[in-house]
Amino acid sequence: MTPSQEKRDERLWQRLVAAHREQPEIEPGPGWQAGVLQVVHRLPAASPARFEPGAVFVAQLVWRAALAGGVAAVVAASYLLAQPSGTDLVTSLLLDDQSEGVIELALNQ
Amino acid sequence: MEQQPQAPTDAELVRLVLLGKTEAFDTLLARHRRFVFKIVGRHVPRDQVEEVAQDVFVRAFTSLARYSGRAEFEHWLSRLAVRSCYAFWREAYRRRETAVSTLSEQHQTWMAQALADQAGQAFQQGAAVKEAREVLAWALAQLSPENRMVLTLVYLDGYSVKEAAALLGWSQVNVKVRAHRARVRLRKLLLNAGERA
Repeated sequence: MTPSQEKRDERLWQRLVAAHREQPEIEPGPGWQAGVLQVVHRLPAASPARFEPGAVFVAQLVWRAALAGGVAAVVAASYLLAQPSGTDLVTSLLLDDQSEGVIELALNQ
Repeated sequence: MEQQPQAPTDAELVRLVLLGKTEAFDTLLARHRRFVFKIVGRHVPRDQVEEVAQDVFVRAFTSLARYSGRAEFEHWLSRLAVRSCYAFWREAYRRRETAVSTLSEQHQTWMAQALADQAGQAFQQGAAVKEAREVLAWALAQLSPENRMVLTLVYLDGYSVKEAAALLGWSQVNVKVRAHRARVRLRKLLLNAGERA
């Protein structure tokens, strides 16, 4: 795009932006509010009274617990791998005969 | 001197509604309806504003328990309003109900004048502003609902990328990329239409 085209584009754009921002405000019609309230108060299934105020807290708690669990798993795995026989231990945990491998390692140590 | 009883705050009204006193919602609606109309009025056709604004308040009522009270109630409401407008456009595009207007001779004359910088003085006149709005509506109708929303928020309303991302619930990168692409597309559309004029 040439500089003159850019200038033309910018000029046109500024006018469009101004037209968008200068829109006259729309006022609600006379019966609008009453109509909305009628709809809202007729919502039995969605009545806020049925929502538990603690629901958000419980949901947050579940996610935080999941995050904490994930972090704990990563820390435990890192600790195990850092041990002298850590790789063997993790490998044995992943293999079929897990209990035998763990017991054997424990007895050797 | 007699003290005036203080009006309940938005957070107090929300709490009352959640405790079952749903009539408290009447006050919330009366207090914030103009604010919602202002947002919705910038995003949807004028004859649809009341319907979309109603949808915003119905959504607000049904999801009031999710309002944490940490942010301003109006801030929370503005997110619902923007998302309702987005839902309106998605539905309208899906049903192909949007009237894709064509540019009339008057619009093309206005564009030619605007590009040639002859509309400067005439722009303050009502007719020129009306034509500008119609040209903009025509151009926006060529975009997808996503690009339309993001372009309106960032370039026309003047929200920052961060604010627009929070309003739409999108990532900042998504907003930035879409806004840029939409602006480039709109520029091409307008320049092509202007050259034809």
